[in-house]
Amino acid sequence: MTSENNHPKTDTVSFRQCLKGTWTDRILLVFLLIGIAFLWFQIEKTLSHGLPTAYVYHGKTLLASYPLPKGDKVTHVAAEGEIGVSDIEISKHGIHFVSSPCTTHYCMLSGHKKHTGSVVACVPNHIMVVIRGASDDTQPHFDAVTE
Amino acid sequence: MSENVKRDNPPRPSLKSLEDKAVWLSFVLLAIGLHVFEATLPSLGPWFKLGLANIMTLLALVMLGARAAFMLAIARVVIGSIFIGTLFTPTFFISLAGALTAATVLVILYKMFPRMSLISLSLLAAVAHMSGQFIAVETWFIQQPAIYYLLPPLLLLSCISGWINGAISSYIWQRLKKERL
Repeated sequence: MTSENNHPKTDTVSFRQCLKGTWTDRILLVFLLIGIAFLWFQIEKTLSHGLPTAYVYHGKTLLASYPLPKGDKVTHVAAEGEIGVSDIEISKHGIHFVSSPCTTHYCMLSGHKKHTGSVVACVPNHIMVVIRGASDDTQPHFDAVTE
Repeated sequence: MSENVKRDNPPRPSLKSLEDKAVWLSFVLLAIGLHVFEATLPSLGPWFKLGLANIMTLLALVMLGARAAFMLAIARVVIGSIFIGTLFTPTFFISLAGALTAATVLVILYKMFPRMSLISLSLLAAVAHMSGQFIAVETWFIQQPAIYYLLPPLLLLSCISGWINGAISSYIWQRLKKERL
């Protein structure tokens, strides 16, 4: 009996084998994906009613709400937050942070968003813009809604 | 005489204890390095990062135990933030909330299911990390439940990154086990 036989033999596992995971891992992944898909579906279902409208919030306060315009009309909203004023553009292209007093500028880098359920937030400034309503083009469109 | 010597010189830590401390420290340094490296990478989105540093948390959990993994998660966020320059900014608090949530979930799962694979642990930790971050953002900053509209696509990305990080951890752990033998 050689000394090699005294040690338990370990097989070298390649990274590809590790990447495949076990059956338990795969079943867990499937459950997670089903849960996420269900959550996504529920959110979409909740939001797909009415006109696509941009809601601008500062914390719990609703600062403004604008229906997304179809024409060339461009609206700028100066939303005052915790650290300064964020300039938000609302146009046919959707919502977009033009400028923000934050340092990371993630909000500005998010680009234009126009689909329902889209959210752009400036976390340091506590400003959030969310689009709610149907993004269906066949629905009637208004420039503004007044009470 | 011998009693006096014992009183003056506290007992030496065992070699195993010193080795564990050295391993933990090297993991912390690697985790900080990965944390900083990730901050320099172009982001896949404003709310998403790969979470490569979580590989070190996973390895610390299986090699050194729950306490070491938890302390590592805190240490790498705090020290990493000093290097990136985000200490005590919203980014820091969101990152810390995510890391603490993920570490807590990891520790609980590892205690409850010790035979759970690293990929499963990593998957659930990644989902917990993202959820923890969103809860922190909603509670402390945005205060609007609408922020959760962003959650499903980011959870999908978390599943992918969690799986990959788990596979990397598993591979490293297998190699380390072999080296130790």
